[in-house]
Amino acid sequence: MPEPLSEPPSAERIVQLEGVRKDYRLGAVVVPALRALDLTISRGEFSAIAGPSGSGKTTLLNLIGCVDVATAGRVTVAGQETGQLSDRALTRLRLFQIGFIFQSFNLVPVLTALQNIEFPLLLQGGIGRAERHERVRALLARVGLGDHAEHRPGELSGGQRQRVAIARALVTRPALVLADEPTANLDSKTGGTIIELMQQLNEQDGTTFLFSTHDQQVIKHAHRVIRLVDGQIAA
Amino acid sequence: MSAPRGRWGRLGALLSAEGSLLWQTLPVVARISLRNLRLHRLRTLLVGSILLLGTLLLLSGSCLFEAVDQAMERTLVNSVAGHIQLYRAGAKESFQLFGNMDGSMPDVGVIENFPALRRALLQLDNVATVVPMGIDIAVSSTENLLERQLAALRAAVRSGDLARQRALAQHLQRVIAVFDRSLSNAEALIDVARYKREYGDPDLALARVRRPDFWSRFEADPYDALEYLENEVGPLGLDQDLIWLRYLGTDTALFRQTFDRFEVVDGTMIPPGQRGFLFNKRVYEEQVKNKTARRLDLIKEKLDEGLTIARCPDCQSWIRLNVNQTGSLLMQLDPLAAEAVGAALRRELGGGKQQSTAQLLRELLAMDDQNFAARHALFYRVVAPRLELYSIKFGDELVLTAFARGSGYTRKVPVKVYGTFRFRSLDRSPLAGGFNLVDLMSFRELYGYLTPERRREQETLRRRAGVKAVTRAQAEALFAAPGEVVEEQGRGAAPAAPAGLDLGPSTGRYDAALQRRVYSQSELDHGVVVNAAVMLKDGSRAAQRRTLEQLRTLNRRLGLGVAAIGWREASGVVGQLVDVIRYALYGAMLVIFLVALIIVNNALLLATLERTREIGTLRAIGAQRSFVLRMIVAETVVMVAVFGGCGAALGSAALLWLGHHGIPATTDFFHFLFSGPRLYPALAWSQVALALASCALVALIATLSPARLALRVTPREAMAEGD
Ligand SMILES: Nc1ncnc2c1ncn2[C@@H]1O[C@H](COP(=O)(O)OP(=O)(O)O)[C@@H](O)[C@H]1O
Ligand SMILES: [Mg+2]
Repeated sequence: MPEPLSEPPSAERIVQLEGVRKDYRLGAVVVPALRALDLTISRGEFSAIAGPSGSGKTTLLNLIGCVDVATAGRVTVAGQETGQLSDRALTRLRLFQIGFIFQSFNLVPVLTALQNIEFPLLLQGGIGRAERHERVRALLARVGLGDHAEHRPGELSGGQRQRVAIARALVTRPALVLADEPTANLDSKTGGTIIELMQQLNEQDGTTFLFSTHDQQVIKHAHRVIRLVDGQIAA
Repeated sequence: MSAPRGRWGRLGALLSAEGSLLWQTLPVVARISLRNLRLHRLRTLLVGSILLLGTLLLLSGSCLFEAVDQAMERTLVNSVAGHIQLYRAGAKESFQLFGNMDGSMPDVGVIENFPALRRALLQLDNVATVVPMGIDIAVSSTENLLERQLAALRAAVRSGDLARQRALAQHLQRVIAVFDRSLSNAEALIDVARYKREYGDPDLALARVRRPDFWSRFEADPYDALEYLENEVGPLGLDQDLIWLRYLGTDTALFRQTFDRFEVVDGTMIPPGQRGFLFNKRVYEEQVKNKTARRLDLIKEKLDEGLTIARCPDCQSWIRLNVNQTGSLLMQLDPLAAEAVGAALRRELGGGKQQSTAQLLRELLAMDDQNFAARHALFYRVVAPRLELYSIKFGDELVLTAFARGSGYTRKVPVKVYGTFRFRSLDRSPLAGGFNLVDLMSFRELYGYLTPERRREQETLRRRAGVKAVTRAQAEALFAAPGEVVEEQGRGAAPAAPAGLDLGPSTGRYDAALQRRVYSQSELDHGVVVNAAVMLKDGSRAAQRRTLEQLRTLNRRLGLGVAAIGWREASGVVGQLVDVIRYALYGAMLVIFLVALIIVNNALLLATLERTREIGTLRAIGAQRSFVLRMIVAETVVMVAVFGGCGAALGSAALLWLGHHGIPATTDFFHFLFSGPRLYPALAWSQVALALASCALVALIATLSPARLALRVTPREAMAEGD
């Protein structure tokens, strides 16, 4: 279901980048990864960042995900300018506003599917065990792993692991879910179902999704495609 | 690698941050930690076993040390030291109960008014007894072989046993013949002219006693011949043994009451109030016993410790010495005894008829592992009863010669030997076990101070001479009886004489009446002592400290003029041995500590490196640094709890078991260390806590750098590709 359009305009823009530049320093060499980039992501979007390898997709997602800070320019996420925030505040912003889906799934190997998904809720605190488990189980059902709650990542297939990762990203009901090449480690069929699942979750809950990919099959599903070439948005 | 200080400062802030979340995330932290530990079983086992072993060693080491320390304290306090030792204040040297490192005794002056000191000290509630003492070194000599045989001959003459008399006389003739030859060798070494001037011409005397008519007349008038032999020939014996005796002069009855480690081994205690001497059992065995027998004892001790002769070079050399010295053994046997020994050995060893006693003795003494037990028993059954096993026997008079501290004279004081004693647990320690016991009167005389008799004697002489104060020169003139040599050590002018200083020389003549005299308690107490041992009622360490403090205050207030030190300080090297062990233990623990630290640290660093991506992921999805820190620390805590706990439990169990069964002391050193044949360690809960705390400390220090590494992991690390 689409989001109600009653929210104020500033809140509608979950991500805003203005003149953002990102340089990597390799010893004396400065590698420009993003150059003078402006971008706005609105709530409820289901957008893809596309571009060849090395074009700056990961760098861009890292800036939006508050995992890295820009060399210049302004990055605003959920109304907060990330350049101004401490590590603690950035971490809180990630915990409460952003969900992450990784290319390599990145589940904690020693925890079960349920425990992996429950983990961000434990970090947030203040939610009772019953409610936590109810939310986790509901999500597990929605990603089609209702009866895999007690499985460890090692006992799951790649696709199943990514579903667990998606559930973990969504369990805190974040404003924004970021996924860096979520299907790169999956075969195209499984990748397709994962993208369809994400799309479905976007449609049902209105959660904003921003994912990078260089897979045309995946790009097809995006409502909006942001094309990056050499650290700049192609026209 | 060094990070700015601020980073460590922030660590504390992180630890306390999000405290409310601590409890909520604790289960997940614990779960992750436990799962991680299980997942990396090998690493966990490595680190765990080091923590376990470290805790075990720490606990057992400190408990064993504590046991040694306490055993040593009990032994030293209850054998001679008491809890506190007193000596004259302002002494030049510091007081050492067991002497200086070179074996000499420090000169600490004397306590002149002992009764007043004792009265003052007994005012303190915790003081039980004050025992007067005087410790010094004297020298004495055993009779030489000729003298011993002359004594035996005289006894035979007196008893009228003609057969024995003849046998001994015959043997003596043979000894003199051998002796003659050895003397002509000796003459090459000494200033013959001077020797003849001082002792007469030995050749003349020897020539005379070697003539057959001397011996044919012997039977007619044995006493006259004996007199000549004793005066002219006896002193020529060169094999006189000088023995150095460290003695402890004390109120013997009080000493026995006060020190419960003291016990008489053979003979009897010196009768209360009387003069007398008790040999330390160990000294008696080492210095007075027949050397061959003593060596056999030593070998037996080694074998009892589990050694074999084949693996004991000392034993082999003792056996060689025994075999080479059968001659001296044979010389001590009179012809009758030699024949009896020969017959018995021939029977027991199954030798041919033609073998001489000397050959048989050599064969007997050439022992090895197979025959040692049987030969040792045979020696004691056949040979020993016919020997003079100890050159000084109970009931003998012993002339002690010592350097008198006060006047600078050499003093000769005869004392009767009553028996042997030992300090239980210290008897096998050469350092602290070397005291012999002598009565207070003989000690004072040896040390150069007046006894009641000497005081009276001097006063009489003084009256007769009509002088009030006796100078040293006068004293010499007064005391030097005609023909008596005044012995003197050149020490320059005597110092200003303190009260009771005996300025006269002593003759060393044995006076049976004097030896039987019973001194009153007041006579015993009134006279100088060198030091005094204070035994406390409550001997706990705290009480010792408290009483020592009170005693020092009292000393200052009343001007008692004594210095007071604790038993450990008074015991010098012996007491410090515990400190040496303590530092060795600390050193060993430090090494264990460091090795454990390095290994554990490395293992944890590696583990953290392996988990960089996982930590990055947790940080990306919203875990604060404090959470990461808790996660890392939790693993350490779990390991300390599990493995340190196991180590503490194992150590406790081992200590409880050892505390029940005891650890056997296998060598003399351990005997001394354990203050007895077995050490019974006690398990102290404070030590368990300390060992666990140390384990935790090591583990936490080892976690510092891995934790720092983990805290540096950025969430970007999660994005790294590859799985
Ligand atoms: N940590 C880094 N250090 C230096 N250069 C980097 C780093 N990460 C990325 N880059 C460089 O930045 C550019 C953009 O990389 P990236 O954002 O990973 O692109 P993409 O995800 O599209 O492949 C590339 O040229 C890459 O080599
Ligand atoms: Mg990339």
